[in-house]
Amino acid sequence: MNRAVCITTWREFKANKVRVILLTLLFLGPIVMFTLQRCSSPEALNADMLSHPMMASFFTLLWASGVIGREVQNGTIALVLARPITIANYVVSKWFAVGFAASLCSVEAVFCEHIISAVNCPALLWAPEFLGNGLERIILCFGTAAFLVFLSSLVSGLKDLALLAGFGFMFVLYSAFAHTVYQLTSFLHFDNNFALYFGRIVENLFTAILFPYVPMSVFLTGSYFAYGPVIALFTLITFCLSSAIWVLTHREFSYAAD
Amino acid sequence: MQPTKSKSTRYQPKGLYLAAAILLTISAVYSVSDQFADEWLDPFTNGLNGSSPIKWRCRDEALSESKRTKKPILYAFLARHDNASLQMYGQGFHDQKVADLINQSFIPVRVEFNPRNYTQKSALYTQVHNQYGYASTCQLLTVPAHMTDMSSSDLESSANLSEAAIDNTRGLEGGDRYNYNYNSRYRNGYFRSDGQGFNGNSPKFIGYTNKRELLDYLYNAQHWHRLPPTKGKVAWLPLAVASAPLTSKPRLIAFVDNAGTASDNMRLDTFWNARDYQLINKEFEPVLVEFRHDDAAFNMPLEQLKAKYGIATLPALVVDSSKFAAPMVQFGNSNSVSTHEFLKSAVKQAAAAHPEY
Repeated sequence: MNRAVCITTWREFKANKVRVILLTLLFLGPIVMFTLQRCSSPEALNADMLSHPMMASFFTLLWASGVIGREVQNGTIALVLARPITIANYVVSKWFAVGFAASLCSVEAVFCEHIISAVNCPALLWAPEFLGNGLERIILCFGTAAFLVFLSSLVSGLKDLALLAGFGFMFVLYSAFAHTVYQLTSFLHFDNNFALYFGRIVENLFTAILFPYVPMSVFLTGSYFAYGPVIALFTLITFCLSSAIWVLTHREFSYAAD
Repeated sequence: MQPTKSKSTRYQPKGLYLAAAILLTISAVYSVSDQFADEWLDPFTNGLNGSSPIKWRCRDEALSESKRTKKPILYAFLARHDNASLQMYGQGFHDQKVADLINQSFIPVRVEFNPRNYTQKSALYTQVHNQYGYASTCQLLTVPAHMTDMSSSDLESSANLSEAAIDNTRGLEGGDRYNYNYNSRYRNGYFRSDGQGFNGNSPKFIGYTNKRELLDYLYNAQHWHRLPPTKGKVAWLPLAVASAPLTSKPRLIAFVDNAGTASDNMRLDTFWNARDYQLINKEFEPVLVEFRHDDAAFNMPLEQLKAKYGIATLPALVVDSSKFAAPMVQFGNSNSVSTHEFLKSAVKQAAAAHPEY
């Protein structure tokens, strides 16, 4: 981990006013919605109505878009790598910087929601939902950050957003295709269970990449523990970081802007 | 010259690559095993495994225990491939409040949707599905102790006004029980407005979102069909009148069950309908013979009356008078219009048989 790379990433974000405005909106939006919901629904006063951990994915997207691609586009990556730092260290530092910053923002957002809950109903101050939700957000941030860092290593500038949109579109296209195949085989009275279960594996793959969710709140409540999401998370992080490192180590950089 | 200790910029982290390859292999094996329910890896891949604070029973055990303790049976339909099932099992059923409530007030039975062989359904699933007709992968179904032999429509039906969510009887008195006004906020059966969950008065809970909704359902479901059904606005005479000698005034004997769609419909369609109850109160000596479903000891003295009029199934309406050659009988409850026609024809026959009356 390189501290200088992390700090530079955060500073770069701070210098971009559009991103800061978007971050503020993303931070305030759920809190306003949450407060209005509380005011309009008296039944909800005794419940810890935290927003979904999925919000963490949006924070990560804001922090991670073009995190490496912009440096490639501006030609500054060659300057960074002229210093005694390996590409592996650079990629891991970028991933940590993004994951840490996004985690901080999303946990802070959920903390504000929790405080509003506690003001309404002081008994909720020690409600365990906040802890589970916060942990889920941190995990989501680091998982999503790994995938976005990988996408950013493939292209220059903000083109990784287009890659992400394309990946999402593939998911939608696949779902529609799989649904049609399933309906068709049902109609023709074929045994479609094999197709159904195989289709689910592909669907789970898409979901694990786009939404690396580990249900921490479930694990914290009792003896139940699911291995699947944990294995999927570690696989996603290691595989994406390895791929990003491999791609960048096999690429030539120039000082000139891309 | 000292060799430099720093690594090359393009240094390849072989350890990370190896870890990624191993994890990728594990993920692939896990995913295939999870979907195709491989027996060897089942302890790891099946999210429905593991200890549970709920004391699950097998179906036969639950049926006999339910008869003995009068507690309702709670069927939990779960599927290992269904996220909602896994969430309900992991989050809902492992919550101490939920587990305590289920253990105290219900007799829980697990119905696994998918067995190991993915082409077949489990025998228990087929059995329960054939009787109650439900097929959701994540569902709870409450079956009251006295209704274990009934169908899904009987379970959903209720003629208790609070259970049927009727807080305004204008619709019922107007003869249309489908037009009564709901106050959805206080509807007993009301659960979620998105078409999922605990719909209307149904004793089933579909899908899972959070513990609070599950607890709401369980609090409602533990009392489902425990309250007596309505007797309507008919001025019923004591049961002893049914066996008393007949008079010239026609006697209406209504045979009804305390559960089941047909009896419930008759109670709501006829005994609450102003057109009918006014006619009954004016022209007949009404007697209500209420049977208790699945309570043979209670029904024993009433069986004689049933046999007297040749009634095999409930509900039924019998009109008899000392002037009638034979009693008039309506079997079942087809609809409120036919029942009204039956009552009117009985009045006509009584008038024809006894002109002064």
